[in-house]
Amino acid sequence: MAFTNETAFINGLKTTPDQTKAIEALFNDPDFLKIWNYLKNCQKVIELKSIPGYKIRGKERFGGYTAGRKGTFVVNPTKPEHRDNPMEMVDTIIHECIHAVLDVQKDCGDTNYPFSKEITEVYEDPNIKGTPTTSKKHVDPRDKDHMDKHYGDSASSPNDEYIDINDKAQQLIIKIIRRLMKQTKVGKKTLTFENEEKRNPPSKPGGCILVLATLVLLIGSVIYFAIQMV
Amino acid sequence: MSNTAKAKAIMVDHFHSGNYENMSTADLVSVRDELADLWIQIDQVDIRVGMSQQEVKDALSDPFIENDGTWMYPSTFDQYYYSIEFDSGLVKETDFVALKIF
Repeated sequence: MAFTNETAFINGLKTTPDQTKAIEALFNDPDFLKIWNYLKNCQKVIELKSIPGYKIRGKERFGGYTAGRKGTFVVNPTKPEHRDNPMEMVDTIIHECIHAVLDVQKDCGDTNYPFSKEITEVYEDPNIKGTPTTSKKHVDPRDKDHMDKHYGDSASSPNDEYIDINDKAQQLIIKIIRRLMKQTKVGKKTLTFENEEKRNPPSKPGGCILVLATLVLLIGSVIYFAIQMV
Repeated sequence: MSNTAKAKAIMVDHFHSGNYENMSTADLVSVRDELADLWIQIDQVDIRVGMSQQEVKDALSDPFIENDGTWMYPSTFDQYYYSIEFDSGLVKETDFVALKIF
């Protein structure tokens, strides 16, 4: 068993009725269970922690993962975004699981590995040319376009930091959250959706109407002038 | 100057002062690489299991990050930290960890 205090950790995440619905649905989701069970069945110990007010470099964070001889998996249950939108907490849990899986793969190998090879994080991304960093101020100029295009803003410090998992990882989170929102009818889109929508802006429903109206006006004007000329 | 004193001076001059925020990437990489080398030499030599929090503070300065009984000091650019975990106020174990935050 790789996890410490798994049951207490999961129960500790259910601080509101909506969070309870969301967390229970997450731990029954087939894609998420593949990820969780991969971690659970790995021999590397992962300490699960709930740290209210979790702060790093002066900013309150959604969560974190530290990879050392053991892994430490942290969720901040009192972050207001987690309480206001239970899907934001789901997002954080999957996000930290992605770091954990990428970390324990070295110990636990490819059997039942839950991800495609395209899912990666900034520190392991082979396309990063300079020193890998999430700091916008210190990013290597050769990597700026890649970070803007394939990463986007971090959730807890969007002006100063990039998010540390790539677009493919973010798309996995979005896929699971969309399914859970449909199932549970709780929560709303998370900050991860904003990066995806910047990369692939959704087509506006009003856009078609505008094009149609312009066409009708154009055809109407042509007919009007044709009649006038006759 | 001992390795612990060198590490303490870097922590005080560059990190606790906030100076690291204005350093160029190259300088910051260099300072953190120097710290990484120092932590390896200090680990289990000057910082040992059973030391008190006050002894660690005196030797290395205040922690750069403190959460849930674990203290962290920076090393290498952006990612790796020298980590000291305490139990009842005494050093329980030390490690080098990659910190990923969201």
